[in-house]
Amino acid sequence: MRWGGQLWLGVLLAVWSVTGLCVPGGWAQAAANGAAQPKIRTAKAEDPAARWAGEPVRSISFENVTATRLNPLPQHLAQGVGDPLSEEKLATSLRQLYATGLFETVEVVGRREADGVGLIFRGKPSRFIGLVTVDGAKGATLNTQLEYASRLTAGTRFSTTRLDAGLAQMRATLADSGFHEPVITQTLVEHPEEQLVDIAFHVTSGPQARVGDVQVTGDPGMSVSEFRRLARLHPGARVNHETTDRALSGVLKRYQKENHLEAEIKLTAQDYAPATDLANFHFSATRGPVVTVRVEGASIDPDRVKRAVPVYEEGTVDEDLLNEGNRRLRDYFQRQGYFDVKVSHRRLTPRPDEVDIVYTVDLGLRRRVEKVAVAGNHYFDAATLKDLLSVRAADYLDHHGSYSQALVAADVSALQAVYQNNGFSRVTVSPDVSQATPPHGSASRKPAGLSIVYNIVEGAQQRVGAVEMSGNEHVETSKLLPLLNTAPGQLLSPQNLAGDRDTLLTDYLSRGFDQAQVSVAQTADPKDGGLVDVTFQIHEGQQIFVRNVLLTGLHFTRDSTVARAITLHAGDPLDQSALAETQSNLYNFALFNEVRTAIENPRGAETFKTVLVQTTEARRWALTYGFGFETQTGQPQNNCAGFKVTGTPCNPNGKTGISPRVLGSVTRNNLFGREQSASIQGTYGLLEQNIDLVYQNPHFHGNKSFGLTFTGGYANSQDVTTYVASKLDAGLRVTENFNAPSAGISRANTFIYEFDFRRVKVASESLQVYPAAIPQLAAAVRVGGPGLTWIRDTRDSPLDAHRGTYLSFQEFLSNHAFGAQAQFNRLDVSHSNYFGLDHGRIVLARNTRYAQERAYGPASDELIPLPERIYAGGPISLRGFAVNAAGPRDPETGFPIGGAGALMNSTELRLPPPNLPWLGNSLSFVLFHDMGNVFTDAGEAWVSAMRIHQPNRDACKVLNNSGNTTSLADPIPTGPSTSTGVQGQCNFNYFSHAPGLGLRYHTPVGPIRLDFSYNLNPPIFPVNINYSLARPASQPQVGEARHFNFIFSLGQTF
Amino acid sequence: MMVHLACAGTCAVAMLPLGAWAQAATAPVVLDSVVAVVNDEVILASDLENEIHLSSLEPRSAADPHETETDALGRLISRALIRQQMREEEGQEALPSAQEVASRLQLMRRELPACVRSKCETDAGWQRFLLSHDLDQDEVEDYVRNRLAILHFIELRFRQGIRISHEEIEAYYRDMLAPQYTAGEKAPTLDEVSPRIEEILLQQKVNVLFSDWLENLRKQGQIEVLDPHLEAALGPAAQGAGTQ
Repeated sequence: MRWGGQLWLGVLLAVWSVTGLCVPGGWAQAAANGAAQPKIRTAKAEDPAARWAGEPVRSISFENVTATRLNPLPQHLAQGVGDPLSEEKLATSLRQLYATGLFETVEVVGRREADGVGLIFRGKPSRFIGLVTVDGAKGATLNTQLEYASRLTAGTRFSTTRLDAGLAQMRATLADSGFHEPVITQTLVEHPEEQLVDIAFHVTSGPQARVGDVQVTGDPGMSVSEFRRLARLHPGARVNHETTDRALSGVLKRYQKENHLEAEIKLTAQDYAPATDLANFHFSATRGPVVTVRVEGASIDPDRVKRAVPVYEEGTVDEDLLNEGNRRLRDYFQRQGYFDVKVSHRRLTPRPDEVDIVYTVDLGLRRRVEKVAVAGNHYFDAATLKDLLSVRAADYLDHHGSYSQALVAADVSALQAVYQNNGFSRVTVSPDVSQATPPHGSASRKPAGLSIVYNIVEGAQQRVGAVEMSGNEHVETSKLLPLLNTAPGQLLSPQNLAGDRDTLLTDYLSRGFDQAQVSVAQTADPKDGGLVDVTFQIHEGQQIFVRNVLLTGLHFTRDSTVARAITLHAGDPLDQSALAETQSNLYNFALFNEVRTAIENPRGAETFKTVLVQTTEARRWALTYGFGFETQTGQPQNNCAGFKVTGTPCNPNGKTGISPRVLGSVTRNNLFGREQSASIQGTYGLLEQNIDLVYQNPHFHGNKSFGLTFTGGYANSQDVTTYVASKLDAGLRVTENFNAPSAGISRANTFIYEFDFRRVKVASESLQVYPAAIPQLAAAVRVGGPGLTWIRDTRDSPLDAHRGTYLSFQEFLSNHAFGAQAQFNRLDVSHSNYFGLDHGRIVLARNTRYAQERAYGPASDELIPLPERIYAGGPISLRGFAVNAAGPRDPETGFPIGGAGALMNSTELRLPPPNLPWLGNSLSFVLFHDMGNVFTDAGEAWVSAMRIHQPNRDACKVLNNSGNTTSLADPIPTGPSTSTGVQGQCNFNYFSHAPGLGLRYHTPVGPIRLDFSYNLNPPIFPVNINYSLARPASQPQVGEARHFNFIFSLGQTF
Repeated sequence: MMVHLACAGTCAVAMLPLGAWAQAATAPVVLDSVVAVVNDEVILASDLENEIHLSSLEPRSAADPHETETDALGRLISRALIRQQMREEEGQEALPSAQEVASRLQLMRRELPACVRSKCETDAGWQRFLLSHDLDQDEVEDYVRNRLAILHFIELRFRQGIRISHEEIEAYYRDMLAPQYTAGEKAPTLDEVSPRIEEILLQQKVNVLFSDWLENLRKQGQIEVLDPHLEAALGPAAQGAGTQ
């Protein structure tokens, strides 16, 4: 007996205490202790619910929450009018009502009526959180932080408990930021009709604490003053939310540097003295042992070990990190061809203050994957299947190939998946690995061969038999079936079935069934073993609709502006994707800093729910500024006459230099409460100075497809070494996008319809052309007319494309009819292709540009103004030339004068980034070849394509030695006269070729670029006049464009 | 006149209960209400009443002879949390077989102290016990079935993975069992009682794990007691739990 009691006394006491069910010994023990009878419940005769049970219910009413708000539940309550009163049904009804979330408390009361019972469901209505705002806290972002810290999420239940918890969280956040004596007041604004309550917090931050005393316990291994220094806890410094983290990380960094990788440091307490405003910090620090990591059994660079074993980068030691070290070391040695390598680690403690982590590497044989093949495949060809494999044979880039058990398993899965998705549900794939014996024993350094063959037994191919739906009570099958990819007779594909299941789910979600579930059942057709019948089993759940959409936060923005962005309306099914689209539409206006969406009473089982859209308007005035620079050989140098004073030589090829620039703009957004903006933008740099007024209406008249832009401004540019041009211009642009699903044209296309009017002028003192041409070329000219631009962009990433195409087609017509003085037509077409090679690791990129410009009209209009001509050369076109220095040159000065035609092609092989010390895989290399030129006439472009030498070079060497005087009346050049002026005897109609090497340092905003090019066939040209000389015609010479050029810039070339 | 008087007397006598009836007809009576919410699962006053009512099936100690509403609500909250976990982990509550229920019912009739006094082993005694406690057979079977399901879940969830070492069994034998035998009284050998000690230690560990787990569920769960008089049912572990 003693034993029995002892045995069961301790058994399941805890379980008994909650379940009330105990084992026999428990009862026996309780009996022995003389347990009393428990209280018996109210006798049924005294319980009104029991007493009235069975009597008819004559009426049901609701108090505090209206029946309208509860609709349609009143018609579906378990206890109905006319039914006999039932305790169980009353209980179920109460549960139904509470589940709506609309009651904070709820009870049912009964009242005797003449011939039965009347029921009233009543209670305290729930309140839900509406708009939460915080103001008054010191610090740029502290108000927002406090808002999040309160955890008072819009739409969720409001209670004083949650409000108090929110206040406590806010105080804790303020204390973290050094404000220990804040005063927080809150104003509650009730909206009883929506059961919403807005909460406006006002914070008075109070004094900000300063660093006081610092105490350290444990074994920090340093003095308190050193600790303080490392923790950057300088006496009197202000405490903010970073102070503690910075202190901990500062000390931890020291410990990590000294290889105390198991160091532990924490803030144990922080007390605040209100009288002095000082915060005293109490830390506990234990530096722990010095940890060393070494590798046995293989030779490996210590730096590589540090990179492979993440205890160094994480600054701590745990088993997960050590196992990660195993994996990384194994991967490293497998990349070296040791496919069978085994890595393990152990932890040694030679002394109490030392820990050795020893990685033991068993390399095994070094191998080379000679062959990877598939066998037994009939349905797919071998090439298709081999593309799926991760095990790779050795090649010129990879001397050992790739192989591991994990890769083989992944390949088997990939092969099985592709077969199963094509109806071969019983496919088997078995890898057959054959490993050759090392050629001359294991001591040989030559790797042993390894071959792998994936043997495939395809089995019978199955097709879909019948496709059926079940459980779709609210949506007709005829509406669902067209959404599916799976159809009778199709190959049975698990991938398709999974996709169709997701499609159905998405469709149901869009119809407001947020609890919908879809599963797929497959049954073999009894008559035909090759067919499988598919049934999509749908559990719809409750359908939820929108009661109302409450939009808040509009102070300046007009309701009509945002109305079209709201895609959910009262009565619609509550579609989460439409809600996300509404949020996205509002963000797209660029009028709001924040747009939050929430559902009121999200967990309640209401059928109709209120949607909250809470916006925070952005500042209407925005100031932006930036700085940039580029450097290159061939920087334009266009004030040669001015250089006479300093004696600086002037060269038609420009000079090596840096061109910095600053940019700034002031923008007024939300103009007139609409999605419009006006801005003043300016750039100041060595190559360009401009100021523009810009008006933008990105969705003209609310149309998503059309945007309107008006620009007007003044620009001064020095980007062609031959002259300084000024431009006063105005332009009107209508941009057409095709984002709408019904557009009919791919969204990759953009059309820009524009009208430009400008007055261009070249400063005569800057012009580097022969003297007789200066008056005509320096005259101000009006240019104006319509233009059309078509852009088709299918690139995966505009900043650094890996696949896709980019086409731009630009047409501009300048004509007297539009008030222009110059008449010409310009066409400029550029097309780029991007191909991924070697599984996308290498990108082959190509860009071809063709441009032509033709003057028309009377002879007086034949000359195209210098700034309107076609130029090429420099960072984004032909890298074998200086900036805008390709093509025709002035026959006397040798300076580029632009052309009327251009044809060029650039090809780049963008290589994958190697893993480099310090740089990791941020740096990659590019091999490129640029060819082409700018021509006097577009007709010359195509015939010049096969010409790799400058035609008639001797003519370019004929100098004019008669000008050894101070007079510039002569010379007058001879030669053909074209729309770009008299060309002289030197001919530039040939293709220039420039191969090169580029470096790309990848950053989140695109690559930083350094290109080196070598022009194989640069042009030569006569230089009879040099305006930087005291006597410009005194030193005639033959000039030549540079062979070698470099360019430092941002972004890919194209 | 007599008739009138008689009538008046009769009417006066009759009017008293009619007036009381009229007052009762207009005065609303609370029939049921929500008293607590456990992760959106509602506990009603009728649930609480039922739990107290069924407490006659539970053994009670001398130190705590009376069932209180707070005790009952605390138990209902714990059971709700466990059932929610059962649904989450098993997909649905696995109910015990009819045979298991019948077997446990027989055990209860033999061992439950209140039942022993009513001689529940006999059918007549059992019927007397049910009648005296306002219970019926179905009610009791449901009670046993639900609690057995919970016990199964707890056993399954916590027993697995617990290992009792030989050293622990030895320590229990040496420190707990052997001292209970007086000098001259022959204590059972370690080998004889090892399996039973192992079972005790196993159950003790289950109890510890279960208590921690339940405390954690209470901490993490959203439990709201709507009747301020019953807030003690939240227990110390549940204080400060979210009430959303």
